Amino acid sequence: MTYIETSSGNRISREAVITGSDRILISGHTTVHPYAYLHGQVTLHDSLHPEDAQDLVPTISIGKYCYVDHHASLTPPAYPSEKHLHGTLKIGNYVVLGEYCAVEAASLGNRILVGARARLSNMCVVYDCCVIEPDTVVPPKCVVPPFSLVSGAGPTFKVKDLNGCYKEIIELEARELNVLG
Amino acid sequence: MDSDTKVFCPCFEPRESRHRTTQEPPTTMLEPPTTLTDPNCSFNTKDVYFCTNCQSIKCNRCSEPEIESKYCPSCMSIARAGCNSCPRNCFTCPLCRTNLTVTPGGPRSYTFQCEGCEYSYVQKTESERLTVPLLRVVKASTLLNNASYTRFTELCNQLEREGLEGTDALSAVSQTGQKLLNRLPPDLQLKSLSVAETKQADASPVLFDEEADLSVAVQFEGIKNQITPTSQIHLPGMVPISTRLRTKKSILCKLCRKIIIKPDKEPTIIKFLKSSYFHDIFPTIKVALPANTHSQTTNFSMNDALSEETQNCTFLISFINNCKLLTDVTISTNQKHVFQIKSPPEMLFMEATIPVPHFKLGAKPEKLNKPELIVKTIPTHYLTKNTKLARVEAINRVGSKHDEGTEKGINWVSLNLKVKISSIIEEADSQLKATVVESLKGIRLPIFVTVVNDRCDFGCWCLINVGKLIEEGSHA
Ligand SMILES: [Zn+2]
Ligand SMILES: [Zn+2]
Ligand SMILES: [Zn+2]
Ligand SMILES: [Zn+2]
Repeated sequence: MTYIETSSGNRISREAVITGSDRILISGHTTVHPYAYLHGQVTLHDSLHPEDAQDLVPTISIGKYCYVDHHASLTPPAYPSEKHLHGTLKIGNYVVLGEYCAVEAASLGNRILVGARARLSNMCVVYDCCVIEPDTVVPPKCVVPPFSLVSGAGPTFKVKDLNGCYKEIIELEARELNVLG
Repeated sequence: MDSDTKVFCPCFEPRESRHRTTQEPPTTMLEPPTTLTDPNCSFNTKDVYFCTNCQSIKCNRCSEPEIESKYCPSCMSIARAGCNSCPRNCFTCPLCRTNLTVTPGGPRSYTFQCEGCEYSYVQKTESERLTVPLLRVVKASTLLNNASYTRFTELCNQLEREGLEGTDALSAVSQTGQKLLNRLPPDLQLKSLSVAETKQADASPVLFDEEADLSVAVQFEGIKNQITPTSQIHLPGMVPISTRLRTKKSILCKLCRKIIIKPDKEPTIIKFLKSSYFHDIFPTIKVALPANTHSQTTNFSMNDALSEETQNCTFLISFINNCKLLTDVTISTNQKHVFQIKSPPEMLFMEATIPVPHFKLGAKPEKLNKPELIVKTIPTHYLTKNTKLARVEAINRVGSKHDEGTEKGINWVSLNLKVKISSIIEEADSQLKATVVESLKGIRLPIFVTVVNDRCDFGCWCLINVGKLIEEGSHA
């Protein structure tokens, strides 16, 4: 397994599946593992870009010290009324996306751990300092406030308070993963 | 994330023994507190607080929350004091708890649509423009249209008329409840327990069944038709639920009333005006099988641990300083740095030996912002071969180990923890062995850790998970 290492410290696996790479913005120190799927090749909604400048607006932007595990998939959110049109997917700093997780969210803040196989459904928004447990299904358009511990799916979906010390814990976890690969 | 170590809060200890387990330095013979093995008294180190004034750990039972602000978790707007619902028009689906989208559905009506399921609801209003919050309109129309609500209101009125005091009404209710309970068949409790068990056993992955889903969809469609408020049939509980507010809380010490945690009132701001988390002052304790025994782990199983009368196993215990101060750590055992615990089946003994019971943990670097610095804060055992940085660091550390496996990093120390598990089963009874092996899975070894630096001077019991590691070894 080989990785492409950029000058800004990104490590992107050659086996990662990336479409529209010129429209994906990765800030630095981010790791993308094999078979991660970054779907940047989408048509943005007209309101999101200046006329005839569709290509200038990134469809997926990822902050510093993020970690995208193998088979994680990132797709910009679809507009409910016009499914072929998409919004942008913004991911903050220190966001760890577990293996086989699926992200169709509109935005993820800073310092977020997303467990394996979790699903962040269309247009949902996750604020800073959250832990999404493995196998969680966050419903569409759901807003997850800061310091939330999210678990379950459907009737078992639960949002609990997360202690404030996770702010540093998650950041350190993301920085360690950057070093340990 | 690791959940290797739990920390014990002595707040449930009987009063006379409490002094021994909190501030006082442990005496020669260290006697574990009586509630040490109670799972309700030990916590994940990330979930508890530290009162600097009392110099003690604070769990949710010995601390007190105080509401700073209430906000709607959907639109993030702050609600006024005394208000219990979103000041804007946020509603959740009564079927799946997803946020509902509210749109004006033509003149004098509003449509509530669920994105998570097929639920939708139409609310008619009196006037073109809303003068009162939509929530009140929904509530009012619910009361008007719903027979069961009307009946409840009537009942309330009747109770009021009859001059029943709240307490009398309550006692009447509880008496009825008791009567009902008495009428239950005696084996009902057992039955419900077995139901709960089968439910747990059934936790297999749910398979996708399109036909079933379609039938549910049809069902929902049916419900949808029934719940337009104009029709007389109105399902109780199917009206949109107003989004429940979330709170931002301060945490106070129950003993000295000093503030431990104070967050910013704004829902989206993650700053703290004051914060004293246990995790920030206490070192992270990680336990693993030592790196040099990696090859042996495949042969190591729990059954092996009991094949001889006594089994010695060595764990690598790492202490990582989370505090930006040089910290003195003492691991207390009895005089010989050996202690025993009698585990639940009372036929197992554990003796733990730590070669260096007292050491200094370097301060956590002030700014941990460079990968070159981050890598230095990771104990050697946890370094991987995945990145060049980690590989180079591992090579640089070759030969840094002291006697008996002790190794020191900028803010961490790794030690060999020798655990002797002895069983008093004389004859190897396989049935009995199986029970012991089963109970071994949950074994946590208690150690008393004292932490001293410029900010704190205290000790507490930690429960490290050694049983789980044995199990992991057998899986490998
Ligand atoms: Zn206190
Ligand atoms: Zn307590
Ligand atoms: Zn709201
Ligand atoms: Zn729904």
